[in-house]
Parts: sequence; structure tokens; C-alpha cells
Amino acid sequence: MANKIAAIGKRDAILPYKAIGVEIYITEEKNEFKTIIEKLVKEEYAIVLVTEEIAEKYADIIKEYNEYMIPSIIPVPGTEGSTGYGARRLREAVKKAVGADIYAE
Amino acid sequence: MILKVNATRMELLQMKKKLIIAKKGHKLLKDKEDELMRQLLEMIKSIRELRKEVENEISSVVGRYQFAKASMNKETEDEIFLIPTKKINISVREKNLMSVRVPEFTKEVEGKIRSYGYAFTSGELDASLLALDKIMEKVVSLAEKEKTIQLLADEIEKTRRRVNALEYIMIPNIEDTIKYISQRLAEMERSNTTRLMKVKDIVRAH
Repeated sequence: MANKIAAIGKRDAILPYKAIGVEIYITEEKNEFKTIIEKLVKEEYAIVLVTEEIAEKYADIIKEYNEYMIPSIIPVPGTEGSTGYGARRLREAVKKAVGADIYAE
Repeated sequence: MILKVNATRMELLQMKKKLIIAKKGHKLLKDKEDELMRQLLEMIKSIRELRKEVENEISSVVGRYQFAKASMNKETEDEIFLIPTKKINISVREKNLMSVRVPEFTKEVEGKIRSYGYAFTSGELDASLLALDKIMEKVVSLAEKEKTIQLLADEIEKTRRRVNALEYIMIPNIEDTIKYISQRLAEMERSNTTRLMKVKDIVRAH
């Protein structure tokens, strides 16, 4: 099956993605974010890129789709550069599974 | 804790059977957990590097794009992105990793970036878009790996809970029960013997 990529975030941070063929959704508002994510899940998007600030703010919404095979929702750095949330999120998942913090270098 | 059962030979046999099954299940689940853990550890190594690379590159692209944006007006910016000619599709395949369903992404690209005129845009813009395009390959593989890690982590947690339930609750309980029943049966047998001896004495006295 052929599925699509989408990006969600602030206008400045995700506009360039549009040129390379990623669908973009500009939002910073919680309810809007939720409806967009629901729509993307329903339409079987494969990858959803979310800027880090927003991903961190609405982590509870994203968490609901953790056990779905698709979409893979991943945080990407926004206009302010990397906040380290992406790495932190992975680290949490690993810590939960292994019971020890082995993600750190 | 002793399970609520009648102290009969029947129950004893059943308990012994249950214990064997529980031990077998425990071993299998433990093996599964170990294997999942091995897979996870392997993935972590590669993903840590990948994540860092992607983050750095995207940050730099977004930064460069800000520069490019500064040198054009808003209408031009809107125009550039009005009709993207390039399309990325991801074909998703399902992979089975120790009975965990994980996705495998392959990128399929249609068309080129050229959706704007060069006259009113800066070279910085071309460069940043090209760079972003190059990163996409890594982003796709990052998305695949992060999802896999998440799914594996969930599965490991579930499996570990099952292993622990078997190891620390189910198996000890059954063992206690088996001990209890066999002691009860032995006690009943002894009491029966003494009663018979007593009866014999009474009969003899007559």
C-alpha cells in the first residue's frame, strides 16, 4: 500500500516540507491538533512529523497512538532548533521496557 | 498462598500437571523476553546516532530557510509552496519481529522540486530545499526505527509482567498447594492407621 507523509507544526518550521512532497498542517492549537491527528490516523498516513515544541505540549494525544503500527509519529526540530525532546521520548520508552536507563551514551 | 482446593488425590494430580505447564510457559516467555530485549538493544545503538544526525540536519535546514525567507516577500513565499510538484509516498510493509507487528517503510518519490521560478527566489532557498530533500531518506528510516522501538518496548513490558506473574505468584502458589495437599493426605493416612490399631485393640480385649 502507498501511504503519505504529513507534517504538523508552526508555519515557519514546516513550510519547506511542502516543496518536497510532504503534506503540511499548520496549527498550534490543541483541539485542532487532535482532529488533525485523528484524521491522519484514519487515512492511514505512514509518517507524521510533529515539531518538538508541539509534540511535547500534546504528548498525551500522541501517546494514544503508540501501539498502532502506523502512523509513526516522530518529533522533529522546529524553528528554535532541537530541544532534545525527541531523544528524551525514546529514552523514556527504553527505560520503561528495560527497567534501567541505558539510552544515555 | 494456598489455592482453594479440596485435599484429594485427584486435585493433587491436577496441580502437578498445572505446575508443569506453568513452568514450561514461564521458560518460553522468559526466552521471548530475552530475545526482544536483544533486538531492542541492537536498535538503540543505531537509532541514537540517526536521531542526532537528523536533528542536526533539520535544524540547519530550518535555519537556512529562515534566511532565505528573509530575502523574499510573503507573496513569493506563498507562491513557492502553492503547488508542490513533488510527491513522496511511503509504501508500508509489515514485518513480524517475534510476533510483534512492526512496519517497514520504503520511500517512493514522484516529480522534482521545481515548483517555482528562480527569478524572485534566492539560492539559499534552493539549497535549503535540496538539503531537506536529502534528509528525507533518513527521516523515513528514523520513523521506522522509532516505531519499532516503541512497539518492542511495549511488548517487552507486557511479556515481563507475564513472566513475573508466573514466576512470583502462579508457580509458588501451585507449589504451596501441592505441598499442602500431600501433607493433608499423609496426615489422613496416619490417622486412619491409628484408628485401625485402636479398633483392633478394642476387638482383642473382648
